[in-house]
Amino acid sequence: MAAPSESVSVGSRVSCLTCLGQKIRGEVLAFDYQSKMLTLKCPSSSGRAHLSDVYLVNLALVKDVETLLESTEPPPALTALNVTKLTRRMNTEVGEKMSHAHALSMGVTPEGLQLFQTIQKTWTPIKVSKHLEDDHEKWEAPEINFKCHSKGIKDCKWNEKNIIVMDEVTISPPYRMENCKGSEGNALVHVRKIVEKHFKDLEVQKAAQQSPGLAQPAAQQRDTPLAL
Amino acid sequence: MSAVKFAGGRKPGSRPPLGRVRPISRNSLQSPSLVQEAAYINTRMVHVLTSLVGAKCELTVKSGKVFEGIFRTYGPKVELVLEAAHQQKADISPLGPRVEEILDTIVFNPSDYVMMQYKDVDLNFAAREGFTDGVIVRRVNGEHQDRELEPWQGGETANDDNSSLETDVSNGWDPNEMFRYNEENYGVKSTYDSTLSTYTTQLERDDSEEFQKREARAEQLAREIEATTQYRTHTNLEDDERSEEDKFGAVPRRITTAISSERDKESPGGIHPRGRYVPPNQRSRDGLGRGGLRQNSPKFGRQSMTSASHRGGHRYPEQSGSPILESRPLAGGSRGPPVRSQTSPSPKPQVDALPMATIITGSLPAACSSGSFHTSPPQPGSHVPISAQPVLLSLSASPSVASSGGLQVSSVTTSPRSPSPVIPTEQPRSLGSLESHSSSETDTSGRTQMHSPAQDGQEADVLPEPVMPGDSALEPQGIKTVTPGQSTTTWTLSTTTRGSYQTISDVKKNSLEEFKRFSEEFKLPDEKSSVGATETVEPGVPGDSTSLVTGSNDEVRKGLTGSPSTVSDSTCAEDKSDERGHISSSPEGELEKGEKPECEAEQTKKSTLNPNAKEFVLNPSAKPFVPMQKQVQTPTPSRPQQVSPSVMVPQTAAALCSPQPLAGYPTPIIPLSPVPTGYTMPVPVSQHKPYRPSKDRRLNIQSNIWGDYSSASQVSFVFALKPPPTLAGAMTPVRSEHPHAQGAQAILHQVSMAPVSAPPLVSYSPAFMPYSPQHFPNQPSLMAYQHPHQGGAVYPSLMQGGSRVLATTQMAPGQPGLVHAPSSSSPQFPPPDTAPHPQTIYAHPSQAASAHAGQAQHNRPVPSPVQHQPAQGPQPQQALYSTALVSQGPHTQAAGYPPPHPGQPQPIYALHHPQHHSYNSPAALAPNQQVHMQSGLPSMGPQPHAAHTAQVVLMAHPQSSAHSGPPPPPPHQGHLPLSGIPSMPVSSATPFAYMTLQPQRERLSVVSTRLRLP
Repeated sequence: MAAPSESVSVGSRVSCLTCLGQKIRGEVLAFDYQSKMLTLKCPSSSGRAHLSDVYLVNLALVKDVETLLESTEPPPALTALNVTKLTRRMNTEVGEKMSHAHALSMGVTPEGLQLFQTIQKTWTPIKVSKHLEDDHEKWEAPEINFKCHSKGIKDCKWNEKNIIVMDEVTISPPYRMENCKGSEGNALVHVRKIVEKHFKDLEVQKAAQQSPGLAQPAAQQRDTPLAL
Repeated sequence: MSAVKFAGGRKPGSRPPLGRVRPISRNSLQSPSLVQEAAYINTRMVHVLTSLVGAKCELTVKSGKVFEGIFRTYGPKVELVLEAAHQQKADISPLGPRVEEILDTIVFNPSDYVMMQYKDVDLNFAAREGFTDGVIVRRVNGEHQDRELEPWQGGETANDDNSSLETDVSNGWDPNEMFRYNEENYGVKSTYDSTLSTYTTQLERDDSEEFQKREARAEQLAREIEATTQYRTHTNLEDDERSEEDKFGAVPRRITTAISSERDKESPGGIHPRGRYVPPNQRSRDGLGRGGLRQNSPKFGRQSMTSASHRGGHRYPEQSGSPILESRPLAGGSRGPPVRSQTSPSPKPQVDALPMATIITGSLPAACSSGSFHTSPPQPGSHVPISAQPVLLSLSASPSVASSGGLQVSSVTTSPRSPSPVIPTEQPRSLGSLESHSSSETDTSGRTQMHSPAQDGQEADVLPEPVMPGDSALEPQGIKTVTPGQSTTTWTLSTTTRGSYQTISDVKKNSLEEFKRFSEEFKLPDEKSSVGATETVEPGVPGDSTSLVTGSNDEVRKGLTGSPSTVSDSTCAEDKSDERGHISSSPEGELEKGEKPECEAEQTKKSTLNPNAKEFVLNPSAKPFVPMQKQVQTPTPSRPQQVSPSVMVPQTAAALCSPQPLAGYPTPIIPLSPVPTGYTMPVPVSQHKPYRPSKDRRLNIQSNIWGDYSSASQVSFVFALKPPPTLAGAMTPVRSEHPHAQGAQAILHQVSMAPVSAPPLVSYSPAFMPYSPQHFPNQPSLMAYQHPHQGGAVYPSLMQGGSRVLATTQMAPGQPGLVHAPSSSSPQFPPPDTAPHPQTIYAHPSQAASAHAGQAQHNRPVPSPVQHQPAQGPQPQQALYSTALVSQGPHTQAAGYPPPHPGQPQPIYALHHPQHHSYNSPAALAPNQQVHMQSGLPSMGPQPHAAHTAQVVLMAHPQSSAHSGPPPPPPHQGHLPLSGIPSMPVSSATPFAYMTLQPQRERLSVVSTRLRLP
C-alpha cells in the first residue's frame, strides 16, 4: 500500500493496485486526501460511449498508485445535480431489485423474469417519453414524477407467478402471448404486442448467438423502443 | 467487513450528500483542517458520489467478498451505504438474488472496503435535464456565476445605423408637401391647424395681473414639480445618456459602468453631466454666483417688487416672478447660503428671493419640509420658498441681505392681511427702504438698534416688501433669492417663515397699511427691544402690532441687509418678527451684537421651534434643511439670552402673520404670535437690533423674541455650523429659547394650520433634532427649520401659506400631515377651539392666549380671527390666516404655554427652557412670562410649541387645527405636562415619539393649555 501523494489532480490518469491485486486505471474524478478516497472514471465495460464505470478506491487499502498522466487542464466545472432524479433512480433500482428478488422467491421461471423485465423496461420508457412530451416540468415535481414512474412499476407487478400489467392484463405462466388475459382493450393489445416482441427478440438473440452475423440487428431491435 | 443497518438508511448526523451540490471550490484537494466533515468538504468528491446515488454498485471488501447493491449515500468519513445489497455468491442464481438474500441497507466503513465499482454509470444522469425554458431558467437562475457573460462587441455598426436613422431629418415628407400632394391628387384638403384650436384652448397672453399671477403660478408649479425628487429621478432616467444596454443590460461593461457611476455621482448633485437636466441645486449655484452680496439689496428691491406683484396675485404672482430668481436661490440656499450671507446677504437674497423659493424647495426638497413644500402643491412650495427666503434673508440678512429677506418675510406676513394693493406699493418702497435699511442696518442695525428707529420707518416700507414676499407665490421667489444669499440653515428658516408669511401674505396685504404703521411702531419696539422689555414692544404692538411686526420685519430685514453683525441683531429682531426663520438667522447676528442675549433667548425659543422642525423632518426629507442647520450652527454661539423678549416678539409676529391681526393684531399679535416671528423671519427683527431700540412693541418683541431668537438663532446657527451636531446643539439652544419655540409653535401652528405646517415642522424639527437624535434625517431640515423656528414664526406663517397652497393644490403631496392640515384645518381648528389645542397653537389658542396675556390680548384679537379662520380652515387663505392666527393663537396660547413651561419644566425644554426661563426670569418672569406666554408664546411658547408643533406639524399637519394643537402639545407636552397633559413624556422623550404621539398629545395638551389659559 503506497502512500498516496497529496496531490492527485483531477483529470489525471492514475493506475491503482489494490491490496487484492486488482489493477484499476482511470481518470481521476475526485480525490479526498482526508479520507484517502480516490474516484476514478473508466470507459464503460459495456462499451457505450455515454456510460462509464466509476470506481471509488480506498487508497488506504491500495498497494500502489501511479500517475500515468498528469492533468494540465483545470478540472471541469461541477454541474448542479438533480436530487429528485437521483432519489427516484435509487428508489426505482431498489424497487426493481426487490421485485425481482420477490419473484425469484416465488419460483418464477427465468422466462417469466425476463418477460417481466422486458415489460417493465418497455413501460418505463413509454412513461418517460409521455412525460417529456406532456411537460418537462413534471420531471421537476418529485411526487408526480415518482408517481408516474412508480406507476410503470406498479402497472407491472408480480402476483404469485402471474404478471399483472396495468391492473388489467394478467400474464400467467408460461407467459406466452396467449396467456395474456384481461378485458379487451388497448391495454391487452398493447401487452400482447410486448410479449410477442419479447419472444421474437429472444429468438433473434438465440439465433444471433448461433450466428454472430445476426447479432447486430437483434441488438438494434432491442434498443428500438416499442412503438404504440 | 462491518455492516451496520440504519433505519433511515442514512447515517445519523451525516449530512445527506443528496441534493444539488454546487461547486464551492475547484480544488479537488481539501484542506485537512476540517476533519469532521472531511468528505463533505471536498465538493468534487461530494459531487461525484452524489451523482452516483441510485446506481448499482459492486463493493469489494478487504476479504475479497463482493457486495452488490444500490448506492444510497455516504457518510462524512465516506462510509458507504448500500440499499438492497446482496453478497455475490456462487450459489446465487444468475437471475438474481432472492429476497432472503438481500439486505435492506448496509453501511460499510472505509476501513473495510477496498473499492466500489459502479458499472455503466451515466455521470450526467442527474445533471442532464430537458432542454426546456423551465429547465434552463431553473439552472441559470441564481447561478450566473456559472458562466460569465461577455458583452457583444459586434453591435457598434447597428448602433451607428440607428443613430443615422434618427438624425436623418431630411427623410420623409414635409407636412405641407403632403397636404398639397393630397389636395392635388386626391382632392383632400387638410384642416390641420398647427394651433390645434379645435382640441385645446389657446393661451391668451396679456399683461394683466391675473395672467401674470397665473403664469407665475404655473412657473411655480413647474418649478416645484421639477424640484421633486421623483421628477428628478425620472428626468435623470430620461436624460441618462447611457444606452439601455448600459442601464438594463445583464452584461456589465466595466467602462460604461464606470462612466455611468460617475454620471450617477454627478446626477445626485442635481447637475446632469451632460447638462440636459439642471437640478435646482445647480441652478441655485448659478443664482448664488449671480446674486452679489450687496447686489442683493437691489434684488431685495426686486423681490419686494416681485412680492408686490405677488401681493396682487398673492403668492402666485410672486412665484411667477420668482422662478428664475428662485432657481438661483435654490442653488445658493443649498450650497452657498452661508457664503452668500456673508458676502452680500441682502443683495443676493433680493435677487435670489424668487430663486430662493426654488432653492428652498430645492433645499427643502432635500429636507422633508422643502420636499413637502415642493411636492405639496405649488403654493406650499411657494410658501416654503418664501419662508426659506426669509430664513435665508435672515441668515444672509443677518447681514444686509438677511434683513432684506426678513423684511420681505415680514412684509409677506403682514401683506396677506393688509390689503394687497397697498402692500405692493409699500413693498417697492420697502424694498428700497429695505435696501437702504439693509445698508444702514447692515452698518448699524446689526450692532445698534438705534438704526432701527430710523429704519423703522424704512422697515415700515420694508414691511410692505415683506408683505410682497408674504404673497406666497411671489414671496417664494423673493425669499428664495434671499435665502441663497444667506446661510443654508438660515435659509431654511427664512423659507419657512416666508411660507408662513405667504400664507399670511394675504392677510398682510390687508394689513399692509397696518404694517406701515407697525413699522413706525416698530421703531418704538426697537427701542423697547433695545431696552429688552417685551412689554414695551407689546404695548406698541397692540395698536400697530401688525405694522410693528411688519416694521420689525422690515427692520429685521434691514438689519439683516445691513451687516452680518447688525444682522445678528437684526436677526434677533427678525426672528422676533419672523419668529423663527428670521430669528434664527438674525439671532446669530444679534447674538454677536449687543442684543445677542435677547437673540439667544429668542434662539432658544427658536430652538424649540427646531424641535418642531423635527416633526417636519418626518414630512420632508430634511436634506435641504441640513444646510440650514449648518448656518444655524454658526449663529448658535450668539444665541443667548434674549429669549424672553424674543418670545414676546414671536407672538407679535404671529399676530402679524395672522391676517386678521392686521387690524386687531397689529402690535400685540405680532409680537406674540409666532407668525410675527415668522414675519420677523424676514429678519426685520434680527435686524431690529437697531430697530429694537427704535421700534416699539414689535421691536421689543422682536428684541425680546429676537433676543431669544437671536440667542436661539445663534444656537440654531451654531447648529447650522455643526450640521448634524448642531441640530442637537441647536435643539438644546432652541429649547432654551422657548420664545423661539413659541414662535416655532406659532409657526407650527400656522403651518399646522396650513398644510404647510409640515415644513415648519421641519424647521422645528431641528430643535427636536437636538432632542431626539433619531430625527437626524429630518433633522437636517429641522435644523434649518430650527432657524426658521427662531424665525419660526415665519415658518409657521409660511407653512400656513404653504398649507393653504397645499390644501388647495398639493395638500397631500408633500406631507400628508400638511395636506391634512389644509383640508382638515378647518375641521381641526374647530376642535382646537373646542379644546384642543393647544391653545396657543391655533386660533383658539390665540384667543385663549390673548386672554391669557396682555400681549396675548393683542394677539388675541388677531388670533381669534385667525383662529376662526383656521377653524374655517377650509378656506385656503383664511386657513392660512387662520394658520397664521393659529400660530399667533399658539403664541397666545404660548403665553399659556409659558406658564406651563415654567411650571413644568420639561426635560427637553429644560434644556431650552433654561434659556427661556432665564430670559423670562430676567426679563420679568411674571410679566414677561405672561408676555412670553402670549407674545413669548410665539417665541417662547413657539419654541416649545414649535418643537411640539413641529412634532405636531408632522402629526397635526393632517389636521390644520390639529397642527396648531399638535405642535403645541409637543412643546406643551413639555409644558402641558405641567398643565397636566400627558404629552410630556413625548416631548421630553424623543422627537419621534412626539412625532407620532404629538398630534393627539398636542391636542390634549392644547386643550389643557387652553383650559388653563382661559
